[in-house]
Amino acid sequence: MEERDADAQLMLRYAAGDARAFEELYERNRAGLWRFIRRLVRDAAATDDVFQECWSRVIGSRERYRPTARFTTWLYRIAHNCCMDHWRKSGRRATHETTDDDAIAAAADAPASGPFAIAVTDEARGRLGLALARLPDEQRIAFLLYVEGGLSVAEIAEQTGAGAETAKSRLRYAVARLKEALGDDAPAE
Amino acid sequence: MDPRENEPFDREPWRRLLGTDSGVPPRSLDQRILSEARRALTPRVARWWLSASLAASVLLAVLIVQWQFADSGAPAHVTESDVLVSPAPDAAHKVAPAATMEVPAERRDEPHAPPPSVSSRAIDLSHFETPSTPAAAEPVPARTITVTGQRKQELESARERLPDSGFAADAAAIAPPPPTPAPAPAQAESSGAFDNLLSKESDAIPRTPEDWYAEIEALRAAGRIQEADEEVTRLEAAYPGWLERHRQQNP
Repeated sequence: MEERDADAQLMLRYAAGDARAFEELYERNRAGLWRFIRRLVRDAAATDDVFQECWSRVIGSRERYRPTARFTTWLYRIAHNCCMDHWRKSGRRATHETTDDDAIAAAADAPASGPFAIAVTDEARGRLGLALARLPDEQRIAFLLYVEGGLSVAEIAEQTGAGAETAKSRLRYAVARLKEALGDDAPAE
Repeated sequence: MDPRENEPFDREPWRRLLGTDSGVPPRSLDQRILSEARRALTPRVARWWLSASLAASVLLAVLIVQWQFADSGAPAHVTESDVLVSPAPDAAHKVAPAATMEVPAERRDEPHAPPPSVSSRAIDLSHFETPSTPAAAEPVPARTITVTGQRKQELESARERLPDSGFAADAAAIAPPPPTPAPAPAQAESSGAFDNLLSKESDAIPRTPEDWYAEIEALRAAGRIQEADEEVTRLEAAYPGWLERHRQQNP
C-alpha cells in the first residue's frame, strides 16, 4: 500500500512541477503498464501508440489528479480506456474470443527467459501466452487488470462497467482456462 | 464486499509466471514520453504580447477606416450664406428669410480670410456671425450649418447652375464668406430662391467678441497685420460699437 501511495505522491509532486518525480513514477510503472497494454493490444506498433497515448493522458491530467484512489487504479483505468479507444478506431470488436493469428503470434513471440527465479519452463510460459491470447477480451481484461494492474474486483467492476459478480465471474473463468492450459505448471491457489 | 471475494486469488504467482517476457517499451519511446512530461512543465511563454499586438492592429485598422470615411464624409461647417439653389421654387418658403443670407456683390471677389481655427476635418465658421436683421444692433448668436461631403457637392453644383447669383466663384470654397452687412431688400427677395438651405444646425458655440478680439490680437502678435485688420473690420460689422467700447474700457 505504501508503494502505491508513493506513486500517488510522485504524481502530486509532478503536478507541482517536479519533473524528476515523473521520471521516477514512469520508471516504476512503465514495464507493468507496457505488458498490460501489450497483452491486450497484441500488436507491437499499436502497443507503442497506446502506451504513449496513455502516458500523454497522465501528463495532461496531472493538474486534475486527486489521490482519491490508488495511482495504479487510475493509471490502468486510463490504459484500459486507451485500449478501448484503439479497438474502436481500428474497428475491432472486443467481444469475441480471440483466435486470430496475430494474437497468437504476439503471445508466442515472448522471450523465453524471465528475471524471476520461478521454476517455470519455457514451454509453460508459451502455453500461458497462447491461452491468454485466446481468452475472451472481457476475461483477459479482467485478468490483466487484476494481475498486472493490481485492481480489486470492485475496481475492475467499476472500470469495466460490469457488476461485481460479473467481474468476479470473468476472473474465475479466466483463471480456470489458464490453469487448464498450464496443467501442472499452473500456480497453486 | 468480503476481502476474500474482492481478492479471489493471489496475483503474485501469476505475475511471476507472466514475467517480463512481453518486453519493455523501447528506449526511444521512453525518451519521447519523458520529453513530453518535461515539456508539459515548461511554463508557457507569456503570450500577452500576441493579443496586445493583435488588439493594436485591429485598433489601427479601425482608426484608418474611420479616417478614410471622415475624409469623404466629414461634416463641414458653413455659414448660412452657403445656400443651395432649389429646383423647386415653391420650397423656398421652407427657409426663413432671416436665415438666408447672401454675400454682397462687392464682397464676392474679396479673398476669404483663412479661418482662425481650422480643424483637420471640419472648418468651424461659427465665429462668422451675421446679423439676422439689418436693424439688429446687438450681436446675435452665430448660426452655423453643417453639411456633409455630399451636400457640399450639391452646393457646388447648385452654384454652378446659377452663375449670375455670384456664388459660382465661391463654389469650391468651404472657407467662410466674410461677414456681411444686412442684405439689401432685393437680395433678400432673391434669397427666396435658395430654398434648399441646409437646415441642420450644428451645436457650435458662437464666438464672443472678446474671443474674437483675442484672436485678432494673436494675429497681430504673429505679424499677420493685414488679416488682423480684416478681422477687425468683420468684428466691427458683427458687433457694432463693441470695439469702441472695449477700447474705452481697456485703453
